[in-house]
Amino acid sequence: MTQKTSRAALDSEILEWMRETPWQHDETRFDSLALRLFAHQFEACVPYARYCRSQGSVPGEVASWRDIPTVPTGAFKEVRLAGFDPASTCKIFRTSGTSIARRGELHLDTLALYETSLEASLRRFVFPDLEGGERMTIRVLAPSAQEAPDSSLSHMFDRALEIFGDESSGHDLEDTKLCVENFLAAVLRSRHANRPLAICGTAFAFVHLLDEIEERGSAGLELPTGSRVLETGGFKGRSRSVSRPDLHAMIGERFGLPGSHVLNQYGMTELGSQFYDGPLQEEGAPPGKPTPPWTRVRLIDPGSGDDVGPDRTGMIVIHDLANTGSVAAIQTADLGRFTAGSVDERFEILGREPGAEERGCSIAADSMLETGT
Amino acid sequence: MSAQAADIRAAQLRLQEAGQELRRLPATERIAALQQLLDALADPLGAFQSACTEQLASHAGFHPETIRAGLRLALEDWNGSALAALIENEVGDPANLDSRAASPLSAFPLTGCILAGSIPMPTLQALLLPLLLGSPVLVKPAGRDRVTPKLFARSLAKFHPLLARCIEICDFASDDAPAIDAFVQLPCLVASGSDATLERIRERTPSGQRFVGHGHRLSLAIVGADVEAEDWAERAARDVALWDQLGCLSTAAVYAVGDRSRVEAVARALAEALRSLEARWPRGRIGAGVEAAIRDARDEARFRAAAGQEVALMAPDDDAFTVVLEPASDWRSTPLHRFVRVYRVATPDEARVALLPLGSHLAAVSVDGVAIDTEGDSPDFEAKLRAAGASRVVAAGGMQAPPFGWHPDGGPLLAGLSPRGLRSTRA
Repeated sequence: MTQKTSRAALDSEILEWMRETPWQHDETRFDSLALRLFAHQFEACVPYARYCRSQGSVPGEVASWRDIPTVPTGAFKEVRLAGFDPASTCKIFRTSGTSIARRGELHLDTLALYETSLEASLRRFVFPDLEGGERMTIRVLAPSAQEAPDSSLSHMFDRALEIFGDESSGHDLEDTKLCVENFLAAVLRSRHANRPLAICGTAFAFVHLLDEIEERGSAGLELPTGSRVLETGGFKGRSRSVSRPDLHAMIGERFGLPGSHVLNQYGMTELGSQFYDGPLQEEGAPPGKPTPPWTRVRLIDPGSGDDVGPDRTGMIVIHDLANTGSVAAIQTADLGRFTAGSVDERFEILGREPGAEERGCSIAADSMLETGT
Repeated sequence: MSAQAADIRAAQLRLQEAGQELRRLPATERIAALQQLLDALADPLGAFQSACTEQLASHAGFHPETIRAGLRLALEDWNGSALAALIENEVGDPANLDSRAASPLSAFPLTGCILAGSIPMPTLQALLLPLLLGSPVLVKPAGRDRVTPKLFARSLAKFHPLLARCIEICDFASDDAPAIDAFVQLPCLVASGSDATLERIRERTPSGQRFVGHGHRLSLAIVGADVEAEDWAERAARDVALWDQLGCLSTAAVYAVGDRSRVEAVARALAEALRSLEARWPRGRIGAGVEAAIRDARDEARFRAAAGQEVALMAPDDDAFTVVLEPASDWRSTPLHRFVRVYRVATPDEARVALLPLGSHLAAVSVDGVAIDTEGDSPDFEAKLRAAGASRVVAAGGMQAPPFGWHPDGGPLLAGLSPRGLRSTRA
């Protein structure tokens, strides 16, 4: 029988784990916290409890975190998946979308876990060389949180600016338009001062930035040693897409950065934690994204739902203890693969394999709605 | 073997030479050869359909029986007579094609076709129509169907070797920029694909050149409250199952008129019909991404049902097909591959209004059990659907057999391929 634990106690234990260095993966500790959190969420979140019952899984009968029922990300578009009084809501992050397409919502009654998880991961994977309150210039190719208050991405970048950015840091995207002049001026300042620059933004914004630079014929944009790029997000619903390896190669070539300094972040609005490429933190690290200790990733066979073995492609399922206020076990529609040699501690994202549109001429209707046509 | 830019330029030169000979042929001779060709393609026991079935199954992943049935149904009426009817509709007297003065249409010296998908009929039409006008064709085959253009050219060679010399196939990678730039120099470019693909090609096409884009579309079904559910479901399931629901004429979703129990009966009948068809026309291979999308959409339906929404999931243990009963008409995404949402609507007009946002991407609508004739002075239901974007309105079961002269935009087929026709079209 799982012991009942209060939400506050769970938050406290998980926050403590997030603040620990060095990171320690501890299966017993994770299992215990995950099962207690499941029991709490089952009790506090009625729609989740109903779903769990329909799947025949209830606390006390679930023996391992691996057996905790997962909700598809689409569930966040359907109901308020939160385990607290709506009056306690301090933040709602929403997925992107049009007026036609539904938007998923993550309701939060505290930002403590979200921000602690974020800071720990950013410090480890994106800014591992900044010590003792050191800061660097960060230019962000995404709207500010003030401009996009319900965007978790904007919140994340703004927090990165607050924690790691110096006085020259800021946004180079306003009113949905790239401020290329601002950005190029920041690059020139960085070059003149020989101070490394960090550029963070959405993959789509990087594509537009590179196009714009190409059109202007701007040259000499190689950044000082130690500069880095963090890109995130996909191209779903966009008029143009570029594969991730191609995008990284284009970014590396334009700014003179080695592959180890062009990073991808995998995250989603529904999650409290994110996953980052690891080469800045660990030189020569194998490809893939290490998982923070308070998260676990499963890869499942879409047909059977069983865990797939090493080197096999599977649907990504994430158990994120940072999601104490909603549901911690989330099934994505993305495909992934564990990196050779790792056992659920490092995985690669393979995205969503193109399907219908490659073989037929029927439009995938979600694409149609996302383009707002 | 991937073609290089130099290969493409060499092919253009050969085609320009062949084109001069082609245009010296009387139009009646071109037409006669193409009619013979269509008659041969329409033969379900003929060489084309047999080879296409066998080769496309291994290449595109469809089950052979599904391909066989799809070809048989679609090509049955795509014969010499259908071509004659198209010419009569769009050109008038066939001899007009020989007379620059009399004909409303003429031929580009060369037409390029960038093909997409793996459903043969759009490919057949894309290759045949320029030849009809007297324009040789340079083809970039679709990555998932390198079969149909070759078989088309091979079949044509049996009837008219010169016409067959007027088709060349240049296969190159979609990211080979020099090859693409060489290809898009052709005076007329016909391209198929997603909106994003078409936009990328259009951006590279020199200004002033003809660009005809055929974008992805989808089709829907509307079924009235008094239709016998099993009979309708048997026909509608064929519209879904053929080409594994991946064609622009495949029924992507159903709007069923009636109360909850009526619409549930319709959904159950459709699920049963799809189950029955699976034995005859098994669904083809799918990749892990599609499997994941189907699992995700099914789990979402299960979650909504558990949350108290009036959603019902009707599916076997495997992912061969899925029917989801939806309580309202709000559009939801679909992974296709025989995944059908049945939306409950109170009236046919609610269905029509629901599909208005899809309008620019709408191809056809099957309508059963709804009066489509004129009532008083108000436009009839079919006219309203056409105004909403549907270029075909038929009964269920007939979606996958469009007439040869059907254009997804509802307009003429040949005008866009002629210098004297429309300046630019986009499907």
